[in-house]
Amino acid sequence: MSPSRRALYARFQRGPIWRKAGPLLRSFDMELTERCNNICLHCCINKPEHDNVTARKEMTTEHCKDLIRQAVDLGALTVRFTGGEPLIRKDFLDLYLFSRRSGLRVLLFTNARLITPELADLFARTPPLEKIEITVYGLTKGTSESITQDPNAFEEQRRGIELLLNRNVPFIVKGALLPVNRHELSDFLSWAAMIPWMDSLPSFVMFLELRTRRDAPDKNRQISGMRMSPKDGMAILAMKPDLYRKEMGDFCRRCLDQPSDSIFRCNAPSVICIDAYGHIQYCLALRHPATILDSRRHSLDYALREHIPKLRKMRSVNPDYLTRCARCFLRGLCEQCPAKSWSEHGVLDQPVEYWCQIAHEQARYLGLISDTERAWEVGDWKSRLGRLDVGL
Amino acid sequence: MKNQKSESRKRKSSLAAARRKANRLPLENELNKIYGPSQDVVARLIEGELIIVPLTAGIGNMENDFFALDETGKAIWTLLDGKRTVAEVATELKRSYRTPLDRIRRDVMGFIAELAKRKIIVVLSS
Repeated sequence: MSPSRRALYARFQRGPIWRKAGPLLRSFDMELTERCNNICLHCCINKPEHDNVTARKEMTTEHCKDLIRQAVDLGALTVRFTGGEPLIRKDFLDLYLFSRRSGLRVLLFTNARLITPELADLFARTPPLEKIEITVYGLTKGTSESITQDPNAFEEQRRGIELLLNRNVPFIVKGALLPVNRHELSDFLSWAAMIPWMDSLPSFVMFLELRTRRDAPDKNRQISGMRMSPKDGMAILAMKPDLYRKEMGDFCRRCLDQPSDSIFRCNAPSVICIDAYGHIQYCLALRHPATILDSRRHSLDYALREHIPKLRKMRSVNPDYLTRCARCFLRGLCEQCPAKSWSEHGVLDQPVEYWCQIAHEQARYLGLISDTERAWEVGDWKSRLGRLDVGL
Repeated sequence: MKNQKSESRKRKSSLAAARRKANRLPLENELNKIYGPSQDVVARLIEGELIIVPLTAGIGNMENDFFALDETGKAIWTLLDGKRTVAEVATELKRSYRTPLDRIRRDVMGFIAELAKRKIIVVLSS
């Protein structure tokens, strides 16, 4: 320590301070299981809760802990436990406490059905330091059952929510908008507003994704049939028009960038994902075999320093992609990505019509393109961003 | 009379001495205390920053409720190892800072008070 001429001055602040670049890994996702106690119609992941064959393939407790240790060594401060339903795992408590005692915050995605008084007490004593995120499928037993296909889902979820409320454990709710529950939207927003920790509108899954493992063609047809149209979805996104314009205007100014033939748009990721079987993934939705690593053979450090940078350099050679996505200035707005291309078409770089239509619908609403324009044919896209400022 | 005045002077002198002693006691008590990290936090060194992550409710419940210490805070934290008294911590710091010892002591005690108030450190011995 070098001598200082100033008086000793010690201070500490709340929140992270990175005077330099920060750690290589900020947070990581751990899909503890694909199994779920719901059998939601629209789900792109779920496997049956009591699927023992799947359960035997899942990471062991020790494997999970090893990956958590690696992530902590790389500087991660947050782990997201997701699934399926992560609370199904019998070792959830062990993994939760291990993570917290390693100095991690835990972000838990759950349907709250398996929250017991004991678990709620634990969350109150040893808080996760992130708001628990609970997906709600219906405001009534009937609606909930239509989606989850389980008559017990509604009551068990409400009980779990009550347990957290009574112990003042912070959580938020989010929704899934499907044809069977769309009529509840307004009531859902009113109910969500009563939750003390909801400081913004709840988010929704409504533009449904197909199965990430391409493992169920029948289910994909079912999901496609329930997808909300881009027009209807736009009406919901912009239900508070001024707020939408402001937020999307800010977003577009930050994220709309030079079109490119690169398949992966993201900048240097400081997030990494691990699936239920120990595969390291660029994101939880991307399961293409050429993009994943086995964590039994490769470390997280190797994945971050070697594997992911190689993925980010991938360029498309697909004429469809080169004609459209590679020239489209809405790339930052559009949900088109390798994961969605893989889910829909089995390759990493095929334009997905559904996401393209959604991005165009938003761009039209924001005044970035006219009704007849196709964004990849717009040459003066930078000047279009100026329209965001005047709300044209 | 002469004896009464002398006795009176002696009483005043001893009272003054007792007052001085009483004023010194809290400071001396504090300087003799030994602090160490609470079992309810986890300290992590990440890219040169010392981050203190709460484990239990009451220290922090939400995502912003963890603490980063600057260089000086880190130096003090490192010395609060459950073995050194506050006085020894200040004396150790004196080696690295061109600051009067009493000023260092005051700053250290102020910093310790902040950490203790938030239950990030605890008294292990007084």
